[in-house]
Amino acid sequence: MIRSSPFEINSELNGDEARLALAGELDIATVQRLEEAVENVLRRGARTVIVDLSGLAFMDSSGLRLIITLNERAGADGWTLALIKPPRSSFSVFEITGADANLPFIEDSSP
Amino acid sequence: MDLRQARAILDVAHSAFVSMDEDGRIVYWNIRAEEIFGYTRAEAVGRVLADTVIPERLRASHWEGLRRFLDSGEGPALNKRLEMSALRADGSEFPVEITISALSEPDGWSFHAFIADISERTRLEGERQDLLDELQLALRGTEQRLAVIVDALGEAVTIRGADDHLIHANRAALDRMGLASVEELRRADPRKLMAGWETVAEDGREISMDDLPSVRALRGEEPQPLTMRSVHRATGEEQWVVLKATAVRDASGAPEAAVTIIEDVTAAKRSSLRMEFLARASQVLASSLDYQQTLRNVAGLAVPQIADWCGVDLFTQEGAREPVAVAHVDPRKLRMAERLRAFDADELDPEQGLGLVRRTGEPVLYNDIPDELLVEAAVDEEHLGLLREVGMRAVLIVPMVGRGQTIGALTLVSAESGRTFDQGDVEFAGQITERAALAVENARLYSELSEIARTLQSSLLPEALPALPGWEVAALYRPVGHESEVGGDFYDFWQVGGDWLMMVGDVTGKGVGAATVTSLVRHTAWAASDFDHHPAAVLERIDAALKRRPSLSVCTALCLRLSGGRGTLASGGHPLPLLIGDHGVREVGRHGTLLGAFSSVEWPEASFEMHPGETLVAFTDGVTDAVGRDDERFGLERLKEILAHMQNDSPMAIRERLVAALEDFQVGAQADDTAIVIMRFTGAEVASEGPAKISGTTGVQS
Repeated sequence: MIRSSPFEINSELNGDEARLALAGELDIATVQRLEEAVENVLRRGARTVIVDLSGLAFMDSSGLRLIITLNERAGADGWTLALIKPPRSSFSVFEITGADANLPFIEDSSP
Repeated sequence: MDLRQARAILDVAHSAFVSMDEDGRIVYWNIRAEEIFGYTRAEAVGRVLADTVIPERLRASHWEGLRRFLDSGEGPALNKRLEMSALRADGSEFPVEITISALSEPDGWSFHAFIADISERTRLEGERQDLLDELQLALRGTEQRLAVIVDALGEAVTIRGADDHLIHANRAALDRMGLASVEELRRADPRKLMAGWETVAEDGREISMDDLPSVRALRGEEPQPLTMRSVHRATGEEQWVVLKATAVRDASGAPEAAVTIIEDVTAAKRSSLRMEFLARASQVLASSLDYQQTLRNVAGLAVPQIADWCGVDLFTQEGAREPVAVAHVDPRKLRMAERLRAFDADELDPEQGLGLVRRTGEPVLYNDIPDELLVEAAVDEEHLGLLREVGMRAVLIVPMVGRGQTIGALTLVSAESGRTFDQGDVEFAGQITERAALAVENARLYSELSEIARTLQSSLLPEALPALPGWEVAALYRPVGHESEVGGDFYDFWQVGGDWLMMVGDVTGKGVGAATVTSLVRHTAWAASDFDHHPAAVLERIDAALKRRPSLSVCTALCLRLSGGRGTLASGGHPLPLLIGDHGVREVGRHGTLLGAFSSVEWPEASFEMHPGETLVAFTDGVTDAVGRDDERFGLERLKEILAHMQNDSPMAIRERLVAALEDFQVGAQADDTAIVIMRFTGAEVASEGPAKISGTTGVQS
């Protein structure tokens, strides 16, 4: 399938804090790449993983499921997951599922 | 039904019904509201609700709550039963019970409240306390006066003197004990009286006389109410009662007697025990495809709460018996069962027991089994000895019916607990076997490796769409991928009482894992709706069942209850359905929390009225998330746009149009499962033919 807005992950690791900025569409075709990227920064010593969803064009229920799974895993394995909210258009999946009250969203404090 | 008709119904409702707009003004006021508040409809409509019926000190919090809901959508007071004070036209205050729901309408929010005047109930609760106080006084007065007061009470009341002897009992209490007069009671040894019952606490611990609240009150303690199960040894009747005792003190403050009120809570207690059991059994049944192990687990759950012994047998095609499970809490007794098995005849006797159940497909109940029956059934002395040792009081055998055939039977035996079984037990056992039969059937389907996906998929969907009186229904189900894969979307219709329940959902994942979760969700929904058919309550049970699974199991589901044209729905993270009506297409319902995923949950219910000719369309996100050219998504707006032009079309026509639109739009392979349910309300009244469930199982016979 040709994608007009290709999925991209921009990954930075500073000390033990990783920041993964996502762009494009997080859906059934791309969730695995995010999962691998998170595993990768954890292997390299990250204890806090910030996933920035603000650059996303779309996110579906498989994206949501991965984020819920990561959040559970963070709780069990003792690292911290933080999320930066996506724009309204891809946010409906959070709104209709009540995820906004249950996932660790933070305000973006990066420059 | 139109709005006028709906209001005509509300006018004869027993509760007051009041509607308010988002500015807080009264827009509707039924006849009962006129009666309890003392304002006519003409006087009430248009007034500010708060200034009319809310006592002044509570008005600020009413406005604060309204503002908060309109700003944030948070309505902690919505959809639950609240008790508060209300104001009549004459300025007097009175207690009410109120349930408020909010409905989003094209021109803003509207709020609807059912209000019941509970002055009477509150008064009765007060009276009970007054009565206890009065009894204290009466004990010092004449006995005659005492008897008059307590005999008037429907609940059993006893009075125990300082030497532990019962000195008085009202009529209800004497009946309970099987005594003719208070004189007889006074002569009786209290320990012997108590020995007429087998009494155990909720945790199974045996209750002795020293545990009774009245005896403890006489010792100077302040006992908590005691909930206990009592089985009358003579009749085998089982009761759950709550005992509450208060001490009556003499002038020096020492207890001289204790008054006990005995409340019969059998119905409520049984219903909660059974609900708990069914929820756990559903979980067990859905947990594994090894049905032999699963049935053994279910039998283990049934003892000792449901029966002393629980056995499960399956029947082979040839009619032979295949014992699967036998459970008892005491392992020594299990060895006795094994020895008994050795005496089983090769062929079932079609005139009694299991053979009779297999032949007729009907439950069989034997209460108060006489020794002669054992003598008749025993093949020799050793066999008879074993049968006598079991000490059966009652036996209940209920068929497991799958695909129109009696595939097995569940046997419940009451022995040392001494209780008998009643019609309620027969029905309850029927609910267990219905679920067990479905689990066995599902498991057998799995093992047929060919056609696995197709057969399983169809077992997870209704066999056929139901004939809902007054509705036309069409559904579309398109799983994605290879034929051997089972999809995660599902829908279901079933009947509870006179209402229909419809559920559409989406389990994440595919294949056997998703099918197991789907099966759990459907079993849980059926079990839950038997006890509480509120959509929010059904979703709450599903959420709890998913959270008990060892691995993260997430599901979205929409649960809709239909009573004629009135719908009540709740969403567990599922897209809201669309209603096609005269004023275009709109979403109905309110968003609620995804099931199985989160600790902070909320499932607000919304009610709405369908008018003849209106159509409701429920769907899964496979529709809106379908991918087209340039990565465009099909989206909600496109779906609404299509439906807006189909106001006069049948559900079948809408279905065909949506299939065509999705196929036109989609580029490449379909990415996700798709399910759509389309229901058009025709309003035609058709007599319902009793409870039915459209699924791969048959109703219980009892």
